[in-house]
Amino acid sequence: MAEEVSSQMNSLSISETNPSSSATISLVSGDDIVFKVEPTIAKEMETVQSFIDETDGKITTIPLPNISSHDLPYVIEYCEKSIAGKITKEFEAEFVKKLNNEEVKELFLAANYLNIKKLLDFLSQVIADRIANKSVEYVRRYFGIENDFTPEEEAKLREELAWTFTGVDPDDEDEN
Amino acid sequence: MAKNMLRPKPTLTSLLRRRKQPHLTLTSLLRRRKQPHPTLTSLLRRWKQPHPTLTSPLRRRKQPHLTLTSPLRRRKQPHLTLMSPLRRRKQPHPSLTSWIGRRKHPHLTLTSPLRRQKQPHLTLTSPLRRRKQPHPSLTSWIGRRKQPHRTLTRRKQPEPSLHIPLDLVAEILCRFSMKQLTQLRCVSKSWNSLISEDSKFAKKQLRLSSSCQGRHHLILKSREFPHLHFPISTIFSSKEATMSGYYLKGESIGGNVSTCDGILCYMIGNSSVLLCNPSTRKFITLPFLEFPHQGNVEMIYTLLYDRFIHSYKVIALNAHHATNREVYVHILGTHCWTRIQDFPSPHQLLFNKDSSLTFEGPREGIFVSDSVNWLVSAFIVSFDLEKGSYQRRMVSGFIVSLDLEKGSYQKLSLPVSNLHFTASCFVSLGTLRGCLSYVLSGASFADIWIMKEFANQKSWTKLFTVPYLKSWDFCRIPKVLYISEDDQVLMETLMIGIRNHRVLVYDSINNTYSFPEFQNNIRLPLNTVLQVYVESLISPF
Repeated sequence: MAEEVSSQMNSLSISETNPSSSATISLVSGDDIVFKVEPTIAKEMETVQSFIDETDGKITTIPLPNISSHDLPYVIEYCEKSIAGKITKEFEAEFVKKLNNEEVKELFLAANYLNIKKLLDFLSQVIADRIANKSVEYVRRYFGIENDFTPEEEAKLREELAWTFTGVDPDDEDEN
Repeated sequence: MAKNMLRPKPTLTSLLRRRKQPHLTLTSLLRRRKQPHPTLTSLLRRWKQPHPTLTSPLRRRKQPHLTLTSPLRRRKQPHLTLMSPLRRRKQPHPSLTSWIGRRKHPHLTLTSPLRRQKQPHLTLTSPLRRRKQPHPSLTSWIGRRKQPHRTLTRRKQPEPSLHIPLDLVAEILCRFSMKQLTQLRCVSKSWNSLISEDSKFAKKQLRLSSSCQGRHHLILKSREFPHLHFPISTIFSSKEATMSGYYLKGESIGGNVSTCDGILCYMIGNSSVLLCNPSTRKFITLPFLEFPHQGNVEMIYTLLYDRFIHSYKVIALNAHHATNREVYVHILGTHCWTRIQDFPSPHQLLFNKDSSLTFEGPREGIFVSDSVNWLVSAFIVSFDLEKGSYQRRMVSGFIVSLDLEKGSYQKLSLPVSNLHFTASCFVSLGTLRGCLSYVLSGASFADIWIMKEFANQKSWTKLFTVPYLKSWDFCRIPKVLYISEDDQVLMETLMIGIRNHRVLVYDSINNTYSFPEFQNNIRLPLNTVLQVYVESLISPF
């Protein structure tokens, strides 16, 4: 397994190019897929842009080891729409419809890593909507959180907060 | 690379397939074959010259020249260059987390610097030796492998693999309704303390809920029923407003209800104040306020947030006409009331020694733009020969504003300075859309104004004129409570004839009215006080 993984490293390289000759920015995903994007897209990604700025635009190949080639196209798509001013409710609904819970979380972390405020806000809301009205147990599973209360502590807290525990939706089956 | 670039955007199916079996699909095998298979040599070469793309761009951002030019410096971060791709592939999500953590705390997240120091430092010249001596990070990685492999078992187990750090969880949680947020305190200890104790989180949540209509509630307070709460959105959607209610102990809760950042401020008797956050159900009674003259007391309490000292305060004004109108302030968390400069005399403010003018008010203080504002109305009293009685006619009014920063009062003009109405008018101050607002409700109209730029009297803007309503003669608008995102105006109306309050919604776009019905057809007697508050976690007590 490890070998397979490291084999992917070969295709990586940093290219130093003259900024005037190269208009596009190459974003390299964690699994070494290169995505060429317009510099305007890179501007939307604050992390990428500040990297470009600090190297005076000489480096146009940006490794994004934390972002998979699965997630990056979504991020780019969102940024493209954002630049075009075409982020509508319909687009957003369509955008998240095709994403399962894990993918939304991955994109959420990617948006945070790339520092894309709009996408982060949007995905925060998506996650909030998806777990709205769900039970505590469901939310624990969703975020992969271990319950560190003792049964007594939890029972006591639940009793204290009993007034809020009405009208909770039944848990869905695994949605992934 | 060019090939990859031209590759059509992956479809969902292909992506899913790849994700399920990342290393085994035909596509990936073929792709890999095109790339030179990593021989030992190539791996060694790479070790000698750690791949620059795998160092953190962020780290590099901070030391751009050093990391790009000197491999020695990069040696200090061997984990990143050597191990992180492996970790990332195997456990992509934890490494994402640690990356994000690293972004914020660059020095804290390198997982085991101490352990690394204990082992002989790895040199670039001995890659083979290094292989025999497992790299500390490899060890730790192997250690981690013993845990169930999350990525691969993901499809079988519902257990999610992604861990979202708490500061990012906060980004999501601040969007929840107060009810669910409170439930989620049971998730874990760290969530519990984030939701119930973290003042930064409470402020973030308040910022979001203040701009969200769904997080506002109407409260009805009366001596005749418990305190009732209605989500504002149900009132606008003209569904029957469902309520929740509770009793506050103490029969003598009277007067106005002041609100700030989701906290309600009730007066108990004249000298005592109860603060209560209905969202958290926490409350506190403030220390007793003692006056020099107990007889002439008519208190107005106003809750506010003083951002210059980062504290909540209650300002108490004795508005009784026979007093000096003394003003006291209590800072939450302290044990006393302090007297500050007296409320200025209306005659002084108007430069008017005309003794035929009498002043009324103020009745409530409005906190907005770092100031507390009280409305004072001026009346002329004249003897009506026909009716054979004294008549009071409102002729003008003004605002007395206490600047929290300077601690001084100033007079602000109203948008309409002179009133010449024969029938009685209602005037009131409030806050609408974050601005100081003024409502003037006469016999055939009601005008709603806001001061767009505080203390700039030229910025008074008329938002709406609520037109003539059937039986308007018997109906006044003492208060405008809220304006919805789609310009529906929620108002308190006083039905003079039947001596009742009602809640009126005026749809300014379609120019229509409705009187929303409350559950159980509750009637609102004259002593009802209506107030709108926002859901918040703020409990400075």
